[in-house]
Amino acid sequence: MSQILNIFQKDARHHWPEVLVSWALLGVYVWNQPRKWANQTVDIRLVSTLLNMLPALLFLAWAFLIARLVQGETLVGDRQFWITRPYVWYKLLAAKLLSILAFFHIPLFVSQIVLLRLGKFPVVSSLWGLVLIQLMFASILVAAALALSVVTSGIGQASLALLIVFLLTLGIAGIESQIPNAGMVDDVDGVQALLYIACCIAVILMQYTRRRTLLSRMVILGTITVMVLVLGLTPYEALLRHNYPLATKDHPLPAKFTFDRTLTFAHGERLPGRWVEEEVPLELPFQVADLDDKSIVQLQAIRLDLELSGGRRWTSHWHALSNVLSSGRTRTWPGISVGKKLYDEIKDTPVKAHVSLGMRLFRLGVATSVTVEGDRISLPGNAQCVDDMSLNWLRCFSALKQLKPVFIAAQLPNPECRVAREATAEEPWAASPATYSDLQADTGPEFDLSPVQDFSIGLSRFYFYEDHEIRLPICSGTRLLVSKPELQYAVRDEIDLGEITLANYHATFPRKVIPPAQRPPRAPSDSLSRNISPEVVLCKTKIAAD
Amino acid sequence: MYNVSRVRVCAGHVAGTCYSIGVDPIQTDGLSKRFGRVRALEGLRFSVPQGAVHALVGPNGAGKTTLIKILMNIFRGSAGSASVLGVDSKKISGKAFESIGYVSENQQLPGWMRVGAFLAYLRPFYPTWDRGLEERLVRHFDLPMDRKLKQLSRGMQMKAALASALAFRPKLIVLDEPFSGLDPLVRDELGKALMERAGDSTIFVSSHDLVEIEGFATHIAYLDSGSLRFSEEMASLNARFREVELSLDAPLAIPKDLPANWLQASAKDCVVRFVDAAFNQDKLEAEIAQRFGPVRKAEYKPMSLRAMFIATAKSNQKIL
Repeated sequence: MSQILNIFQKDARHHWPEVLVSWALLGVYVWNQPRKWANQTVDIRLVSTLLNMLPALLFLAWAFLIARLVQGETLVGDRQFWITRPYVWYKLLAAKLLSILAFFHIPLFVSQIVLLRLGKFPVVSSLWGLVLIQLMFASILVAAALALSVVTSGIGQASLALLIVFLLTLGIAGIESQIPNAGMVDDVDGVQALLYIACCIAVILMQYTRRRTLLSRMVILGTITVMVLVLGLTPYEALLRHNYPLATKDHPLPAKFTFDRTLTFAHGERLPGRWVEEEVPLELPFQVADLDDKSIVQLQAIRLDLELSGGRRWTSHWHALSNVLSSGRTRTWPGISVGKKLYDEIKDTPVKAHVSLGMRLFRLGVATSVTVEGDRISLPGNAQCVDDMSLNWLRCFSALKQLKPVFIAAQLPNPECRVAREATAEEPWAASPATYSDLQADTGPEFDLSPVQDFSIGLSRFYFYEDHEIRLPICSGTRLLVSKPELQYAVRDEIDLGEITLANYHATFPRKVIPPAQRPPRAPSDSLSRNISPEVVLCKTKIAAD
Repeated sequence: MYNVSRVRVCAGHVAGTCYSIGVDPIQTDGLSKRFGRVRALEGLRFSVPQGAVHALVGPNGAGKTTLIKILMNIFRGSAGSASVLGVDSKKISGKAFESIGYVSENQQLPGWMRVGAFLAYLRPFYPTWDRGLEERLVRHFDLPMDRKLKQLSRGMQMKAALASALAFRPKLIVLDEPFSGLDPLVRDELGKALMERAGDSTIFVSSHDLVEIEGFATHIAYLDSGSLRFSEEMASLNARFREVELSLDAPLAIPKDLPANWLQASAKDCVVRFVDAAFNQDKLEAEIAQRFGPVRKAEYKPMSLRAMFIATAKSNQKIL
């Protein structure tokens, strides 16, 4: 223990400038957070820019500090005095970890407690979550910084290594974007994370126990190679089919999807900018029926297969979707893109098409009714929200994690709320209520510098053809029905579209659905035709309006 | 030559460390090292006896530093084995260094530390650290305790390193070119400091400064191109090397079948000169008589270490 403390004290004496810089940056970050929550900005542009860069600066300062601490007894080379002194490897490593704990983890932990208190969130019940955040920092930032520091002899080498790793990461991301269906399967991320952690731990231990730098560097390069191989050799198609199996008796399709041949898009004048060059966006109209009142369906994946002339086949491979269907929805327009060259070749020619839809069924729990009073509201999960009338959303704060999974519905627009002019000028509303959903799984505290999560909740409602939605204002008196969706199962629907002409589904802007006729008259208040959750527990919150 | 018994002891003041009492502090057996295709050491087999001041000499690039780094487990041998204080050199680490004081000419010291802080920092690492000895060494070397190591001259840095390597009374002191680039005064001080430790500690020192080594080495090993030419006591070495000068009655060509231990044989007019690396007067005189007949005068001069090495190096022969 005395050796650990001896090395620790030496490091504290030597690296106090780096420690002070990181602490100062952390102090400024803690000072600035409440100002950000209150939308207070600094008028001086340079200061404002620096404040926005604080998280990046903090990460750099910590990485620099860790590298300096480790390289105080550099593990690369054969001339450093300490390698022929009675250093015990695990005590040296323990001393470095103690320094990282004292100079990085504990200050961050304390600053997060301060931020929770400033945000008026309970501290004691958040302690375990804060510890988990520290573990995430240890496994992501500290492990990477340590691994790079133990295989380099100085800050210059470490920076170069960091740059190389950054470029390799970009390269891997580039490779991933080129592999069909990659990015749709989360299983690979888990494998990559395991490889990363195992590599970091192996390299750190190998260097401290044996100082085999060349071997350690080879391990890093080998791990990156294995990561690329995993990326390239994963059978994504099979995994996706496994993750979204065909419906069975136990896991039936949660709704009936029928391709609607009666609707097409009119050809507008403009395309959304980023699609113009390479890809042509299509949106395919489906009628939705038999959706359970107590369920919501999330369309997560789509694949379009075309039979072209001459027996050629084309597939889009799987792409991500985020269409959420709740009670009252009768239509959905899942989107997919087609290469411009192919589109130009076949856009006016009828082709046989087949769509695969991967979807997840959620069961809505008992809803909690929360009525907005004034401009503040407390949501279940201890999320504190402020109504931002100008942006038509609730700006919410919660401790450690965002409110998810969550499904919120409201009777909007209603007479109390002023509806934006552009909203009233459009076509009539669809039957479904205004909703907000975040269906990501609750995976615990977020990996974030601030334990106070800052997020927005906006309720949107679809227009008649359900191809277009708009966010609506939430006012005092608006009743929100907040439910926690529980994932039931995932399933796949295979739908033959018959012969279609792609040009009819080219999504253009401004949007115009054909036929535009037969819209129902718009009700004066546009109140909802149905309540999405009959089992309502009324829970009117009393929030003092400022 | 050395009668040693090998008794392994796993106790004493250093917990967890085993020493073999009676075993030579340094032993190598067929030790080789390759860097890619380059052979740095080739089949070294030698030992450093307890209490010796054993000098390792040889020209630059002979493999001296490589050998020492293998002994200190900084490098790993490619073949063969080495043991230090009875421990396989591949396992020398951590606590084993509580008994080994190592100083190298190119060692990187923590330049940001002041001399006093450097010694204070190292103190807790060594259970045998002797504060009194430390103070004596500081006084002897006239070390400025409040100066940073990086602000010191090379000689002063070497003194600081040596003080830190001697103050814990190591059983074995290993020095790699400690005198390189130092002025004569500093060399003298370092040499004296080492001599004070001789007897209590075994000293293994590499150098190409033969004059310095000659003053205090009790044993000597000569390494050349990775091969050991010889390793023996200084007294034995002094006894077996002679510069021989023969005055003949008439000029004579050098015979081709000279003994292997006759080095650098040359003849000019009526004088024949050579170095005998295995001097035995009776035997030598018999061989001279056999090859040259009666000689007018024969002189057998003792040689300096430097002269012995030059003769050995130039002859490029293994003389054991």
